[in-house]
Amino acid sequence: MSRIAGWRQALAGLALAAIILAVPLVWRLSWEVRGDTGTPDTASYLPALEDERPRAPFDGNPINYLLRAQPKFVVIGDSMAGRIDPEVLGRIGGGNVAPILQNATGSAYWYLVLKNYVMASGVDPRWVIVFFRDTNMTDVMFRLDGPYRSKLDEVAHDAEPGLNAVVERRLQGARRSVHRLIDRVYRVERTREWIEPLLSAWPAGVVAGERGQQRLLERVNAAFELEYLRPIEQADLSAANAGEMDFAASVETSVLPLFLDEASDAGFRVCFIRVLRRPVDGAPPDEPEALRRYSQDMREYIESRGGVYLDDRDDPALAGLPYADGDHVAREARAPYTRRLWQKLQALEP
Amino acid sequence: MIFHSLDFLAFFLLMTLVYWQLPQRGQNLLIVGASYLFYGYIHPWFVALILITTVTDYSVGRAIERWPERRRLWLGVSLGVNLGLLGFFKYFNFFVDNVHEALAAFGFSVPLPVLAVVLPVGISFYTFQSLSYTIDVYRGRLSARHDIVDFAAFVCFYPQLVAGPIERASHLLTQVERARAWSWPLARGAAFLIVWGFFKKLVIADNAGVVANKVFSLAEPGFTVLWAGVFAFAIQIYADFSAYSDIARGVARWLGFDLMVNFNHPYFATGPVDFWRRWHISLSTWFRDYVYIPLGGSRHGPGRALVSLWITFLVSGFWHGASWNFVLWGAYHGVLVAVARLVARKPSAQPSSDAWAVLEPLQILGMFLLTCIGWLIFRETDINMLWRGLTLSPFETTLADRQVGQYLFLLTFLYSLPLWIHGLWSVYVASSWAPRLRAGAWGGWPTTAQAVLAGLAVAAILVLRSRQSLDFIYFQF
Repeated sequence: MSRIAGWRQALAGLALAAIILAVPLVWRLSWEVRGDTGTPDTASYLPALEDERPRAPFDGNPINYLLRAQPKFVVIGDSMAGRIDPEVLGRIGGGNVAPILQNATGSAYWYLVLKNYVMASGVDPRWVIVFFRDTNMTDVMFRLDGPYRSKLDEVAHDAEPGLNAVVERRLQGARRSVHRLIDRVYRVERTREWIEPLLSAWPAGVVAGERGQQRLLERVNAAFELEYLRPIEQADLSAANAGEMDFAASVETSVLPLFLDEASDAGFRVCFIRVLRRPVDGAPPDEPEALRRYSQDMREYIESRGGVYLDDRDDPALAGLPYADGDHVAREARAPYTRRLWQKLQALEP
Repeated sequence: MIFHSLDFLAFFLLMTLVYWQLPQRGQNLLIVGASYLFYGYIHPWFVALILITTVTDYSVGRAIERWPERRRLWLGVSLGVNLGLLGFFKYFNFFVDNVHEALAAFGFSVPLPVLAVVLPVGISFYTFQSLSYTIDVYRGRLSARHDIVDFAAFVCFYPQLVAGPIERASHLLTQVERARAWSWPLARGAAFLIVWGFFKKLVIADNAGVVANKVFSLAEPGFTVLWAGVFAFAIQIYADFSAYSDIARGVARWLGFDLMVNFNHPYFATGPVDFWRRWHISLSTWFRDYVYIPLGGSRHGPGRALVSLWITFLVSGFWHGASWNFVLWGAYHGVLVAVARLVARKPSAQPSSDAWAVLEPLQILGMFLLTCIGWLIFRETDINMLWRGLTLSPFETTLADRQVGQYLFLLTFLYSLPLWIHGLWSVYVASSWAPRLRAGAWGGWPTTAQAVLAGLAVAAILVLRSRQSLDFIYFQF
């Protein structure tokens, strides 16, 4: 091949590469089109994770709620915190209870609730109680991005330097830079936010019709709940990701230190409660040694920094309570659970 | 190192750039060095195993040439070392477990050692590749090689090292020994093949794999959910494994090598014999040449041929993994092929060509269903659950089971749609235009159209790839 022919071939190759790389820009275009009709882009409060995007506004209503309630107990968490009966706790605990719960949220959300609601309101609760599963408290990425972002928007200010620093520490490295570059060029994550629900909804619509679509999707999720899995899978799932079960390695890239420091500065007593995953035959499900070690390390860490750690696995009485779906306790179990918790909190009072 | 990682992208670009600046000898040395880096990236001690295989088989080849009267002994050395390593790392614990259980059945409880070591990835692949060389030299079909660098490059060639295609010395080693030239058209075709491979892996296989993994984690799946999971696994394993082969072939082409086609639209097979001509071709032809034919093949009558065939499939099943379900899977396919051969031998079973054409879609569907039964056996390692799955009545179902199963089936079908379209295109459309393109990836299209198609594949990879990235399935074998 002559030199000129070689150059021509090389240029043709580059042109083809340009076509291959240009076609995915269709996602960016699709978002631009959608952007015309939606909320305008704003700079993200998590620049370590993403660039500008349309965001839901901060919801300040819970601050007014807290001011009105002047609670003795603030309860934070996702649906796991639903095992508390606020009425019962208020009655036996002698003070108001303010549950600030949001389904499908993670530790980043819970931290912002503490900082932007509880502390910002100026209320002075006796206890701030946080519910979590296994390793959730040290996994800042748990329910942080994708479809969970809109919930986080509601509790986040325009800048969240503390949380952003944690996310940055967690995502550091050249690999992340490449992913961010790709995301910036093609708007990948934003596109996934609308394309993923579309893809999962279509088959549901075909099978159950438009009206039954949502119900079928809930049924699909319920079909794979922990209780329907093989025992070994249950153990694996309740253990979460093996890489996340090293407490010392994960705590500094989590919101837990921030949580404890800010609560301590504000003079709150924070009680972290690791909930009991769905019992099997009236006993706690199996858990691997690594998770046992992780929980022990977490207890020592929290207690050394003035917090309180309660592990529901340690309480045999709780394994006998009825459960509803997944790891949620049944409605009738909420009152006995709450009374049991109050006994433990009382024992911790000076 | 895995293909779908930034580490590999950097490694591949740098290696290729340097590679084409070197003379042929330097290129082969670079292939050996780069392949050892690729293979030992996570566990450097893996390299020691491949070195043992390389040095043994190189020396055995030379010894057979020098002392032909003792060639049986030398072949024994090669078989002993290679199968010894394979047996030790892959089957030792399986053997111990079964001995333990057998003793326990007679009331003995004997503590036996368990090997706490990770299975070296790809050991079954490169062992078989290297063995093919010594067997061919033993048979006099190949001359012993004198250049250990060339031979090492053949054994450890990184694009196909850990999951095939399992190459023969007569095909790959001869390419290692020849000078290679850069070709833009080949590089272009290779790039499309690589993109198509990544699309199959990251979009189709991983999304189908999430469904399959979920279903196979259930303690008591209903009929519809179970078979939706099996369908998802059928898609996953084909998309995953053929993706690896496509990427391997593409990467190899960038280095000037042509690797064999490993899959030829197996889910369009019209029967068991046809399926094995299309599925994992490099392994099935290996077993044909080095197990079935030495067992007698069809030279000793039809009865003996069927027994040889069945044994070959049994061994092939065991090759896949140290578990009884793989053995059962091999036995199952052995029975299917044996029955297909018996039926094909009866003249009355051969309808006229027109009737055959009408029946073809039904044959394809029937073979796909039989293949799916095989995949249930292959995927389900718990024998009790396997028995439950195979005997589960379609009437043991509920509305919820039907709806969830249909949903999972449709979801998997949606993700696998490009695979079916590609299959239909290649088998029925492109074949009539350009038969040579049947096994290619969109090979019959104009270059610009292929580039747009590759761009669409990249676009899909970006937003449709599964959030759970799964390992290539065949790494475990």
